[in-house]
Amino acid sequence: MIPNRKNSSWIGASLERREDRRLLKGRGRFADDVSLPRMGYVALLPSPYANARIKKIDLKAAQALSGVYLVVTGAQFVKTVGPMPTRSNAPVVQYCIAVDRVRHVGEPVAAVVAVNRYIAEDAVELIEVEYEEYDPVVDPMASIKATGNGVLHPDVGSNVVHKSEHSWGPLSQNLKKAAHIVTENFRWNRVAPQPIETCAAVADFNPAGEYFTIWSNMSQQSIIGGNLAISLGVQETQVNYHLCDVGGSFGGKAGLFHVPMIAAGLARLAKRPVKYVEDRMEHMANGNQNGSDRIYTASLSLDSDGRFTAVIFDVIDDFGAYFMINTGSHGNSLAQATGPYDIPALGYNLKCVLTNKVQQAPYRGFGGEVANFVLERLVDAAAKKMNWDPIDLRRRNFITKDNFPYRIPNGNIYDSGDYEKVLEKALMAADLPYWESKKKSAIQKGKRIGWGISTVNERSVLSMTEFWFLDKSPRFPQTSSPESVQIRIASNGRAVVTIYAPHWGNSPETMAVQLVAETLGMHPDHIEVNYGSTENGMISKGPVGSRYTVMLAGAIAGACKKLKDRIFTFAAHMLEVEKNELVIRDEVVSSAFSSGSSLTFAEISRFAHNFRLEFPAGEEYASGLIAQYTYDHPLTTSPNPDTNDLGIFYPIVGHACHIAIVEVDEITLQTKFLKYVAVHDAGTIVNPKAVAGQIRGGIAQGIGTALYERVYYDDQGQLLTVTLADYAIPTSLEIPDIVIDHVETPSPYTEYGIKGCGEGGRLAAMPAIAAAIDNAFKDKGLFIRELPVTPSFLYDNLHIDD
Amino acid sequence: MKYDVKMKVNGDLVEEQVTSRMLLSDFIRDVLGLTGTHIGCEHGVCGSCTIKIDGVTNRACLIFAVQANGADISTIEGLSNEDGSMSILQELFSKHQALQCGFCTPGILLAAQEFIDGPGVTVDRETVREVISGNLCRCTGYETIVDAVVEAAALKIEGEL
Amino acid sequence: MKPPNFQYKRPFSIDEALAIIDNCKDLDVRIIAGGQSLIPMMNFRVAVPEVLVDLGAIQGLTTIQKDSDFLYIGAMATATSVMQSDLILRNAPLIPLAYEHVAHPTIRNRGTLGGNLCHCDPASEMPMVMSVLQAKLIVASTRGVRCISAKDFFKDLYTTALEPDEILTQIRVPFASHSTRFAFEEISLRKGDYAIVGIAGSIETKQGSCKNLRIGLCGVSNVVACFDQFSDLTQGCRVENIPTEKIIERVRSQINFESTASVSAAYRKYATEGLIRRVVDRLRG
Repeated sequence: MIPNRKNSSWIGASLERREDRRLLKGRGRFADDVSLPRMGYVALLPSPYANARIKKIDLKAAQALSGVYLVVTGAQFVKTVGPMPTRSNAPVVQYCIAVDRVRHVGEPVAAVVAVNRYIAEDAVELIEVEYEEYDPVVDPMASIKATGNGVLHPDVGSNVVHKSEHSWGPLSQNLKKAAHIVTENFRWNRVAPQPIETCAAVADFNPAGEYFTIWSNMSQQSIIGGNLAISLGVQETQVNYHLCDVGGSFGGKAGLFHVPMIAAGLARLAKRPVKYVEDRMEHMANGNQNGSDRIYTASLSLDSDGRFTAVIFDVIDDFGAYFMINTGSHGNSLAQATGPYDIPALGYNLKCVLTNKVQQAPYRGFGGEVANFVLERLVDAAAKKMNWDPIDLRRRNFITKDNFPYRIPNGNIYDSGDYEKVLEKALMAADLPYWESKKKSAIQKGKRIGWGISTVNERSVLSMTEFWFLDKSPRFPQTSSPESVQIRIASNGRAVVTIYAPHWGNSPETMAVQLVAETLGMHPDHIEVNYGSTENGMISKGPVGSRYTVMLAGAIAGACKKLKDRIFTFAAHMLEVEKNELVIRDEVVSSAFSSGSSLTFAEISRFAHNFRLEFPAGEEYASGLIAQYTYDHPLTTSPNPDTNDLGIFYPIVGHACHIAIVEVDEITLQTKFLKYVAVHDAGTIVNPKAVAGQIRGGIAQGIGTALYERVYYDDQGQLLTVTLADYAIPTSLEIPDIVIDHVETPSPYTEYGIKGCGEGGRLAAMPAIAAAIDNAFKDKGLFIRELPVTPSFLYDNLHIDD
Repeated sequence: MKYDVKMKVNGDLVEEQVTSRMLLSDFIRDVLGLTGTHIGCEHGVCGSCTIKIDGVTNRACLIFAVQANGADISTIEGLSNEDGSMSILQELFSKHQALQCGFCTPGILLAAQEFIDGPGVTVDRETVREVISGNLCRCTGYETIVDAVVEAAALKIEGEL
Repeated sequence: MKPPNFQYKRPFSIDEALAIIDNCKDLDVRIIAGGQSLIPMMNFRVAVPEVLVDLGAIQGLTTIQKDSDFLYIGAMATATSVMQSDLILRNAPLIPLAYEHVAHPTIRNRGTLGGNLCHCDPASEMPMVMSVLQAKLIVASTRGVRCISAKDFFKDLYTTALEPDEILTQIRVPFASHSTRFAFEEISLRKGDYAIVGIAGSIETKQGSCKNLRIGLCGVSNVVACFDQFSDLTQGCRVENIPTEKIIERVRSQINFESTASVSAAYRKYATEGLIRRVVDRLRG
């Protein structure tokens, strides 16, 4: 249903966010804010080695310390808490406290519960561990060939945990016929979401009924709760998971298991409530939240007219010590592997390898941002090689707006788009001729000006097949990714919306309010939102893969339809008219035909709640006004088992064009932004300010990835970035103001035509910035193949002295 | 060994006993139950635990509670107006959507309020960026925070705040 | 990340502080000033003092005064108060110039000049600035008071000339004559981070000719570096003619540039040369 925007009251309005008031007053409720009587605090002993066998652990001194309730080794803990849930098909087994062997620095080997975290840390220092050190495996290329103790998981047999080769469309023919082929190598380094709130959990275990209650900032409670219960050795109905405010996730907290598992397992053993809050060092070293770490050889073929005919990616991805997400991030790379361009053939050859580093998790883009970077860099490389204008080359290859829905070679579908319009808006805003004209005078001041452009797609509304469709025999080929809502009209006529996914920096309450206001014709002030725990909850996949608003809109549309029917049933009886002639306007129900009497929601609800005998017998008049609805993914299909068609898995596809204009100081080689333009098409916009906020935040993280951030391990597998002083998240002085504009091409498949917008900023930023720096050093032939472009990196790649 | 401490927190007199090593951030959160002060790094980089001690902002994770004996402290919970309504700065943060997850927000509000109340208040965006540069925000990209603070600064300069 | 336990002492006078130190001879005693470097180290349990002597309650350690020759800065003066001091701005403008690059406002509210100097991080700006300014550091112990020149005070990475029983009480900065010029340039990954390269320069000019060129460097190597042996290059030279490239060559030849995870020694060297050039250009006017 695509609305006539002129009739929309609340969709498209920049309402102030419903989440903000409590947060501004310091009255949010984050996991670390939960406190229970008799609660113990956890500290963990981290491994100092990247690869070692645990020979012996002596807990005596720690156990004897006053104030210590419990000290356990991994071997003891695993007797009651099984391996962590994983999507890995190998399967690669991971314990939340290491058993027998440690596989990365910072992996916990023992846990303490004490009266406070201070004493818990004192006790940790008293634990004595004997290790047998093995040579660490740090380089992914070396890891492929590793043998003996260099194989991280001997039962898997090899550090190569996934290997597959795929081609879609006329790949070999097109490569053979190509007029030009550009081939480049790229290195995509590890970064991490590093939310300002680390991961935390408070857990209580009630031995009567063996019942766990958990508060945590993991953000897919209802879907993952079942997996967590299996690891805890109980039924999923024996775990109640409460939603908390989440201090940023950016994907990382989506599949966070070890923190709630450690808290829950220790609560049961210690016979008291337990709080575990990662400190920043633990989050860095053991957060299980690093991004992709890839080595690429990639090629783009073109015909003599400059039309792209094929693209092929050879990828080696260093997943770290475990493989929780399986090949999900490569499924994600494949969702829009051909970008906004009409490319008929696609190749993808993948090797996933393990090394002695902390493992990967989703991070804003989940591999999609890497594929976008590589493809955009290939387009720039082609433009450079052929001496074509990079903008014209893009334009020439765009999928045109009358070609949607468009099927890409691997089977995924792009629903709608108008890429030309987005590009035009961006070019207007950027005014590149002006910046070109400034270049010369800047040089005289020792400054180089450069501009770069990216035109990328912004796949949204995750479905689940991407996690397993590359596997030959998937272990758990999940296809559900539902979202649910309950809406009731209280007896005073106000709406109460219950949602089942947390606030993690998105705007779920604001979205719920605006969508219900629009759909039910209510004023936002008359709508409350609360969160359901898993115990009384409906199923929810939660906010990952830029899906929540779209899915919530679907669930709300479904629930509102049911609710309207209920309201009309009561109102028809009360007004003595036919149900089908009733309409709602501003919380008033009246007949569309007769100008007679009308009823407010409050009046109807008061009757529906209190005066059952005023209505006829029959189920349809049952007391109360309440509706629930679970919405499934609007368009996803099963992949073909032989992977020659991956099916439709990420069809709600937005688009973005970023133009970065940078200035690089010739002496310091520091990059600063003179202007940054971002034009996005995320379909129908519910709250423009909130969408702009998502875009800006994504760009800020993109700037971090492009210029500042990197997780560094040395050749012994020691983590060098263990503080926020070493891991350089940009501050307010590094992020410029961003010029934002929108195009709204509605999706034909979603309620109101909304598309996701949570990742677009980061999906588009890095290639534009890299291209801008290239452009600043055009005369030196610079071509960025790796990030971050720190001053030192730039110097080392420019070879200024040569 | 425990040490007696006595301090004023958001106007209330507080008397407690603390160990020497208890960080003020933990004292505020765990002893006083004022959980609006957040802990993000415990090494003074992120700025989430920013509070005011004797009129100037401090990192609560970089001072021991015992050192704050006799101090006058204010936290995010003390930032709203007397009647509990939001201050103009808080309202402007809401208006500009200057927060998303809200975890860094209490620290940023305190740093911004110090600037608004200080002698160097200006609407210059680069100055405002400098003022909040010690507070990491991973969500917003800072621009809307700068918008909110600049608008508050303008009101202050015009004498309307 | 919680600190280990310690005995906390809060003396009200220097004498009382010195007596405490004297009484704790067999213990690991640390002085805490602003604590903005020490407390993170304690939270990481890198520093594990048994006794912490807090100078925060001692009167008079935060004052900033002058007489006809010197600025007297109390060791406990905060970075913010030093940056905002008109006395310092007028008489040692290099200090506030460099402080712009030190951390962020809230850290500067509590971090002290004295604490910063005693921490002696070679990537930190102030030890290098004090060396360029030829400051004198006044230290007290029960054995008496002594005056150490900045050059002798900063020994090595995190190592000063302070004896275990001594407390830095005051920093004396000689007045800059009106004919002294200063310049400061720094590169850090993010503003406020420790310097990748920081360069301070000063030069005295008299009737167009110059003397006493000093160049200080932070961030480039393991020690606080200040070079002042340039008289053969600058003697009798008009300030606008000082030989930049020779000065750069002299400094460069004496530094062992370090590589770290994210910064190559080659870049440090390149950037150091570039920043010295900028600093010298500024000094030329």
